[in-house]
Amino acid sequence: MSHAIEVRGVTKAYPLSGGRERVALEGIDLDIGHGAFVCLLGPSGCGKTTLLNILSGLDKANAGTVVLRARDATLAPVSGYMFQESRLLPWLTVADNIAFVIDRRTGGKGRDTQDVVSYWLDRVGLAGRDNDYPRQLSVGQQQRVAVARAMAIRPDILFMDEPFSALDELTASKMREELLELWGEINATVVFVTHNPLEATFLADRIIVMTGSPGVITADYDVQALIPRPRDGDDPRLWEASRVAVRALRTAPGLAPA
Amino acid sequence: MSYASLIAVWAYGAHALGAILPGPLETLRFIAREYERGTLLFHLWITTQRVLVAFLVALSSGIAIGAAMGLSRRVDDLLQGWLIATLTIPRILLFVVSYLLLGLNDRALIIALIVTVLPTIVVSVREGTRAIDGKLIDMAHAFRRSRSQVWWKVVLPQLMPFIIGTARGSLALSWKMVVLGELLGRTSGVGYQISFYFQFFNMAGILAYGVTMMVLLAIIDLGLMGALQRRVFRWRAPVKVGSVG
Repeated sequence: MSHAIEVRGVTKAYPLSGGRERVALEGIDLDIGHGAFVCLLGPSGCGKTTLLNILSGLDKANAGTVVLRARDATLAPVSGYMFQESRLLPWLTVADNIAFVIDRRTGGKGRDTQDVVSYWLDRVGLAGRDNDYPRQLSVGQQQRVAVARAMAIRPDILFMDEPFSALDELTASKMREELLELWGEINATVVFVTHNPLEATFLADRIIVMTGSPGVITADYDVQALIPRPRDGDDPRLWEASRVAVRALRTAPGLAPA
Repeated sequence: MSYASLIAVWAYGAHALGAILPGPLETLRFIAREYERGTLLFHLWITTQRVLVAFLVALSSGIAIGAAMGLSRRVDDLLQGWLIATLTIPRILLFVVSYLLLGLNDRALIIALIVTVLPTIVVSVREGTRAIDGKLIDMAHAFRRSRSQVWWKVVLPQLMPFIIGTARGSLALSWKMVVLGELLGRTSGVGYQISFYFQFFNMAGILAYGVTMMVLLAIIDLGLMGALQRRVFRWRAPVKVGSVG
């Protein structure tokens, strides 16, 4: 069976002064199946965001290959991205920010762009806020618009880089639950970067633990087997399972003591 | 209130100086006379055309050059010397040299006007380009937006504060410099009328054209450009804007 994402031997190094270089990623191999929710978990600076940017095409690897596929192999895969900040365009209204990423190939698919925008604004709980500018929304609401924007193109693959880490925990946990609901609806493959083991355990089918430097994959395990969905944020098994991730992080070779 | 005091001081000065300085009423009467004769609008229209052509050429090429300099180190190095030279050249020298090289014609005047305002537009747009938020461009790339979508929806709106700011300043500067250029070497336009009345020591004539230019600039800058600025920056929290550079 073909995978949604296939990574072979990806290496990335940044030049430093004096001809030296810092190796951010070394020999990354990774397969991710269609529709999986995968978390890349690791400490700051372990190269997880670099890997995400290479997967999404924002950055280029020095060596190795990345292949992305849609479920229907005859189509080019559509990918969306959510950043740590909303990255809305402040000069466009909420509706125009979402419409900005929609075109005939993505999301529209014969439907009126306006309908698509309204539908997703409604789904993230911001119905009727179409004509507001981003500055009129709270940080959490702005991030909801960013969710709507990412969903509106119905991505085959959705890249997420710590999208909830700047929010208060109450808002973040609510948005995690909503994200799982929306993920079920659009059936996308998700690659979610986080440094929070509990967040990874709550969200993921599979957790890939990374450590730096150089950034390598040190553990890769199945959460789905440990805790079936739907999951409850208060489930004590969640906490226990997250300890597995914490141990993997602690015992990783070459990891500097925090 | 501040306008009223301006006119009051003018009126008082005219009264104190007697015949040398015409008062506001006398100047207004002169403006009305020039209007009725058709000369006011005739010369105003000629001057306005010259300013508009020079301003539009300077603005569009200034945006292109400034953006190129902001984005490319090589272009920046290449044009740096030109920028310094055109920024530091005495303005009056520009007009004189231009007339000597190209003759006493509109082309020479308009080119001198363009060179007068172009470098400040370039500097401003270059700074604006360097201040562009790369994170928003990354966002657009992550969603596979086209080059033109990135330019119109992501880059240009970030340049707009710089463009509009420098456009207001440049329009005001060229509006004032055109009079000097016309006075030096043209036989039409507001500047020519001022030099004409200067030869007859006709202070009312000079003031009539001077005041008309001032009032028009205030209307264009505060009214037109101000309205444009408010429209373009609707998305921002409302702030008070005022200029006339």
